[in-house]
Amino acid sequence: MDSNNGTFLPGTLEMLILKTLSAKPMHGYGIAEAIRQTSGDALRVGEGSLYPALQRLLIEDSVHAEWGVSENKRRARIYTITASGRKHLERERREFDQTITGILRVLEAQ
Amino acid sequence: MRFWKRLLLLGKRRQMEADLAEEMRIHREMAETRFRNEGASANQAQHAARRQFGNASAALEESRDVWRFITLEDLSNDIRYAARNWVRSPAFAITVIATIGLALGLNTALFTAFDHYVLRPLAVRDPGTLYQVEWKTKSGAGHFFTWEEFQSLREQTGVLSGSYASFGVLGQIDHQPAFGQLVTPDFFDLLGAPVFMGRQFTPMDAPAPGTGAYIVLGHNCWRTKFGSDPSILGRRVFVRGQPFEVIGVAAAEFSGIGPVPADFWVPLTMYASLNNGIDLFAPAKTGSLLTVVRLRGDISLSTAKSALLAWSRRQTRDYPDDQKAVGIYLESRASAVPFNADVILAFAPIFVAFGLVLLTACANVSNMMLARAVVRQREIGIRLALGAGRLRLIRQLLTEAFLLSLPAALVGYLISEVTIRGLRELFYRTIPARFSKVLQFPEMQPDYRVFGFILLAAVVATLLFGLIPAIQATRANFGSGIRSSRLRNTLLVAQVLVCALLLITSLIIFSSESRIAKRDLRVDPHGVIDIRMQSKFASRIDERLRREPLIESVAAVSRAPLYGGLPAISIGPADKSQLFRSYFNMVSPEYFDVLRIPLVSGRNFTPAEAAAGAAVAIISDATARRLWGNESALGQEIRIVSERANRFFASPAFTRAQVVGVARDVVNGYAAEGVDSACLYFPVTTGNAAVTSLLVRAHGDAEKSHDLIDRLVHETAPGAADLINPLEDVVETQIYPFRVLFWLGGFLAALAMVLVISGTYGVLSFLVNQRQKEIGIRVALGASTREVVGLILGQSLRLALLGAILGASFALAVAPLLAREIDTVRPFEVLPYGTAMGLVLAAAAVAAFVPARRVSRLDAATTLRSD
Repeated sequence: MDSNNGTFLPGTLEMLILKTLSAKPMHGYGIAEAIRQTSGDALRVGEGSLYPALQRLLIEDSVHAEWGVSENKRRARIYTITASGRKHLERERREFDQTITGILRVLEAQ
Repeated sequence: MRFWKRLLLLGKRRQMEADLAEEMRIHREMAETRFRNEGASANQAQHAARRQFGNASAALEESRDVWRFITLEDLSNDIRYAARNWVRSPAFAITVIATIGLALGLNTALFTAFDHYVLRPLAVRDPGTLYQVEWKTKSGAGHFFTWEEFQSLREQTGVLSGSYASFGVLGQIDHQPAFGQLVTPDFFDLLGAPVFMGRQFTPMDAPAPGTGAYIVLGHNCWRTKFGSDPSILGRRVFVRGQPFEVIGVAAAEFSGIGPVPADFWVPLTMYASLNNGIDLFAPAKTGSLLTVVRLRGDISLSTAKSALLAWSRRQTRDYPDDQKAVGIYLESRASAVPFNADVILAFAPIFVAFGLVLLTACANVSNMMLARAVVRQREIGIRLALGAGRLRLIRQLLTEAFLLSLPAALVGYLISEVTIRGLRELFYRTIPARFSKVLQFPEMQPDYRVFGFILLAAVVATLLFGLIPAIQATRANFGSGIRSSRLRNTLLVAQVLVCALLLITSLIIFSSESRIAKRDLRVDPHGVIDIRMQSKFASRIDERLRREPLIESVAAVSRAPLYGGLPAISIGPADKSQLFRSYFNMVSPEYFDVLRIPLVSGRNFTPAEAAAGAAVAIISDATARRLWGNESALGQEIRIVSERANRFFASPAFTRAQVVGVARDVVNGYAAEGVDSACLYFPVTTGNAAVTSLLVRAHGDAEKSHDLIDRLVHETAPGAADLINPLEDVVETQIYPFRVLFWLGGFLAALAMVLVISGTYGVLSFLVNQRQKEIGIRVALGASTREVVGLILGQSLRLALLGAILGASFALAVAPLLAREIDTVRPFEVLPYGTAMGLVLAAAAVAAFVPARRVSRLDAATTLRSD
């Protein structure tokens, strides 16, 4: 379900996709599954927002897509992270950490 | 970066969409498979997968959004929003439309003229292959062809597919002044010019010299001079006193080759009967024909040039050295005026002046938009805060500007039409009456190029006045002041600069014009009437006029004065080798009396000398001093160097002449050039073939005597007079172009000044509004009204002074260029500069007055409480 679609902070979804792809190249469905499983079912990527995000990353040259064959021998479009994508991820990661730290400080303030 | 990527992807769009759709389908299948593996039925699985995927097409749509540009939806939103915006402030919108529309309209009117003459191809077959051919001699002079030379050119079929020769005729057609062309009979065949009625003549109509008394009328001539007579074909009309049969009327879109539209065409075989019986086809030393060729389609221009240059060298091999061809000149005749560097250079100053007005208008509107942007700062700020992208907002503001540019283009078009019509009206009302029938205002119809120009100009103008305010207004720190006020000030200074420049230039021209108008010609043109005709009619008309008691005296001349420079020859004292150029004229003894030119010493020509064309001369005072200094010139001998003469005027038949008299220095040529530097008069009478005009001095009212003379001449020899002009009108016509230049410059300057006033007013009112609080505080702290008003006035005058000084410095650079073109222009006179700068400063002060007064009425307490 798209239940958590709106709960992603802007840019976070792209960061999660890039992080997932940095492990190994994957197709779209694979990315969604990986995020769901890794987050222990907490984050369900609304696929309606997955593909727009992938298109954005394609245009930014953060990922690269090619038609290939999936693990169970089916045709699929496989996404690979590019060098600039990795840089992008790093930057996003740093900024995200700062934001989270900030949020936590506010929440934990007495 | 993203932008370029998107642009690149634009081409691959279909592929990308297909990929995306396929990918999503696979995604659904995979999800289905998983559900099925978890034990759901096929139907359930599919349903679940679909549900999980959400609305498939919506997702597809959203993904597409990432790499598209602007959707139609956005655009229509922008337009709706912009339209609402303008409807809310109609006064502002109307001001912008009027300002831009006015400037656009003037520029479009100018472009219409440029298009009419330079861009529009002639309505003939293949106009791009038509070229006028001339060879150049060492002195750089162009060349008119003799019949023999034209025949030789005609044989160069290696590069030419055809050619024609022509000779211009200014004469009366059925008692009305008209300009026509004698053309070789294959003229119409060669051009493939369209016909409106009847037919055109062909070589079969005019097989030999003296045959072919047929005439084809121009459409405009038929319309205005013959009242669109539908039964004109077959009618006999008189040209230069010679009868012709009308066989056709040319189509309206064809008015001949060259910038001056032709009223009629007759075969060149009729040359002798229209030109004093001169046989064009006999071997001749002097040429008179203008030649246009059609280049073969398979030959490049440069090949044709070199082939024709080789031909012209061969042709002139046996000519005297100073007449040998050294270069060839091919000028395109694809349009009325060729589209080349010279023409563009000639048009450039006018285009620049008009363009400056458009720029001023843009600067003006730009300033208004900036001021408004400040007012809308809150709205823009809110939209930015709500997450609107800056580009998105700029787009929005530009849409607002564009929405105004379309009505502005429409208004501009209407204004250009009104301007052209007004100019035509003004032209016919202001030009001396006798010339309004000869000089015609062109019929200019706008075509697709004109509409293209106005749309393009409107869009460019929009970008100019819309973009800067849009970029400025969406800056995060906009309104913090310094930057935007500096921009506003720069725009204002630029407006003042343009205004001052135009004003100074037109005042310089005005001062030059009034100098010419006031110049003493030292002849008395008042009451003198010039009758131009073929010499064969001169004796008859002379005799008839002398019998009339109202007529005081009649003089015969080889060239009427005051129509521009007289022809020139080289002269010197008989006993010395030194030579210099001098104007000359052949005149009958009555000339000095008719024009009231007193003889300083010596005597007038005797009737016997005049009848014989004796080798005697009367020279001007300046010539006498130049030739013999303080010695008496009387009885001295002058050497005359005979040159290859010109068909357009006769030269004396002798090489030595005795000085019998010295005449006062007068203006025979251009009033602008002043008294002749040197002038010779030789004797002539009405029987002589050299005579082209009779000058008549009549008693009493000029208009009455003009009509009397017109009637008498027409009775004596029907249609024989080409022109009957009061000399005063001729002088007026000389000054006319200067007057037009001054009006044009003055009009543009006045317009620029209106823009400066409204621009200054707008900026200052805005400033006063914005600084209300500051001013309130100043007043509260004890500043006097005078100090506060001074603050506002000072602001305005400082900017105006800067603009005026810059404008004057530009004018200092431009004026010498003008002086190079026109003799009487004095580029560094103080008066035009002083007057123009004073006017501009006064305008700025006037514009500042209302805002300043508003300041003086500010109530400190109220101001400080508000907001």
